[in-house]
Amino acid sequence: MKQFQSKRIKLPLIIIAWGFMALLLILPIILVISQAASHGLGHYLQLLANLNTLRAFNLTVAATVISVGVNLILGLSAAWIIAFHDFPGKRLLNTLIDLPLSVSPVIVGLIFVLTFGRTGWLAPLVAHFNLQIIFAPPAIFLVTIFVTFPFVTRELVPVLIARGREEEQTAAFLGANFWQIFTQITLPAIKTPLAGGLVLASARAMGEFGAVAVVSGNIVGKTLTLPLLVQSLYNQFKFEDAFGVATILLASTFAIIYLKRVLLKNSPTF
Amino acid sequence: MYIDIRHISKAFNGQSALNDINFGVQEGKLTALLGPSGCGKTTLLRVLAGLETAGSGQVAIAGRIVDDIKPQERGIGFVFQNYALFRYLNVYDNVAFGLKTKHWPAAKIKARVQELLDLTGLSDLAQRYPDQLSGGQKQRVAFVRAIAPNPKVLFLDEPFAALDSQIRQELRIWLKNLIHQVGITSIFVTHDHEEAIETADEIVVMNQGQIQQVGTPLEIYYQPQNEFVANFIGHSSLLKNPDLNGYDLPKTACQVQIRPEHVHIHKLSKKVTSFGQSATVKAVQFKGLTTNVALDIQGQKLLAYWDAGATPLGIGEQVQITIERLVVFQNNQSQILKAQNTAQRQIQVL
Repeated sequence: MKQFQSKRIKLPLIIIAWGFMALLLILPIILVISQAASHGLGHYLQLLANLNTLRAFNLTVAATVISVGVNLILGLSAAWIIAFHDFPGKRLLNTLIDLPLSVSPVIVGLIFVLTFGRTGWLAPLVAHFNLQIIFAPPAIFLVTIFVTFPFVTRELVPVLIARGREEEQTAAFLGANFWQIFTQITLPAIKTPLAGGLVLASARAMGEFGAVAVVSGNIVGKTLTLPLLVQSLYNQFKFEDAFGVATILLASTFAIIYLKRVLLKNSPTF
Repeated sequence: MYIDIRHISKAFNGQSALNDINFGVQEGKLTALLGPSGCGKTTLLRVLAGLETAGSGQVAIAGRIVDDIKPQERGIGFVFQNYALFRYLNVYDNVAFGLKTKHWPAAKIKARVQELLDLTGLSDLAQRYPDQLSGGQKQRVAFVRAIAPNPKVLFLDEPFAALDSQIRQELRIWLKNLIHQVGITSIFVTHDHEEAIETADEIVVMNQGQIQQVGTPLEIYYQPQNEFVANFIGHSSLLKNPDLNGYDLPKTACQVQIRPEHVHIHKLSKKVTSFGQSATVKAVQFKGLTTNVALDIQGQKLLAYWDAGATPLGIGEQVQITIERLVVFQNNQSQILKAQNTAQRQIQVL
């Protein structure tokens, strides 16, 4: 039987796809790993055990966990209300949710400096409660939440709309309460896009550079995240250390993708 | 009345969707809300269920006014048009869902689900997931799931719309029998008059947000109260001010509804010359069991049936007809008339 697409077309397409991946993804990854290993395993392990590396790692993990956690709740709520309810200002909200994707991260950082900084609008409030926000971890958490906010909502809204809420209404007629409906009916149906959104959000949270760079203040051992540490080491011409730290980010990304696979193993749509 | 609906009105953006709806449903009866799409029948069902709020009026279910009671506390079983089966639960767990949320003991849940699955012939499918079921099976599961926790009433929104015509026929009868067997008071929405007539104990005909007529299938079919009902239910012809032999029709403006089964066609012969009414055959359509005939009578179209086995009628053929029975509509009133003179009797002599 003849197929629509002949092998003459299929083969070049496969070559192009793989060639592209090799050039833009696989080659750089090999480079990162080989550079990191260029001074030997001992040096590499020492780098990983370095206090500043560990602190940057902890800060990055904290920013990621907090922003993913907040996004899980805020993103779900926003997606639910946009998909199923009409209210004044819905279109505006829908547009604003996309804003973090279209605004340059550096601008995002500046906005937060202008809001919470020493001369910012909310400076009196910040001072009143004796808080340290800008040039401290709280600002890093805030901008990370901000830049990762769209991912969960954007993945969920089309799925929720396509599915409707009749299963939920049926469950309510059958006497289920909110929590039973959410865990037994809604969550199984949206877990794939939800996990997809969370993976995107966590990848962005770990890798965010621009916005964090503006608000962090670059205090070594205190407000440096992994990407900022990579840059700092690179600027000091410690290339192998910079690449060594980069392998941590790389490993974390693979870990998250693997985690998603394991969690969704039994999901029919994966 | 087990379900009592009083003065229900509702508007969407200033447009009236339901206009002073009043009717009641007796305990254990199956009622159809029938009307063309956009007539407000689904909106009314959703108001009764509490999925929409009425602008004004009152709904009582089993003697309790439910206007301020949440949908899930009204004692309702609801079957959506697309059944809304829980995709990630198998048939057994779908049916058991409403029993688990009410904390029935495990043994009782098992017995109840098994009893219902046996009753509906679904036992072999208990471990299947919804996407492994046919349309008819899904419908049966949705129905069983809705009645499992013993709701006071059952509401079904277009329960047969998603099925192909053969299964639809089968399930109508199945559903009717099962609802009577279980004895649950039910309301279903449909746009299909045959479905309503075949399935329901009582029919509420709606159009443009208003009730047109409430009655048994026989009443709705044989005694339509207005032109809309006459036109919407079954096949019939509506004639304007005809002059019919054997009927004393009003001289002022009126409409006359004649059902095709009440029109008798007689081929002209030596014996049959000029009793009854003259008509011309305009079109003939073979339908298998019968042949549909369109006749021209005084410039108006009249539908009739012809026995498929009899000598065929030719287009343009002159025939004599007698009309057994008709309904006259005048000034929003309807009146049933039967042939009163000798024409009818003459046929029997012939």
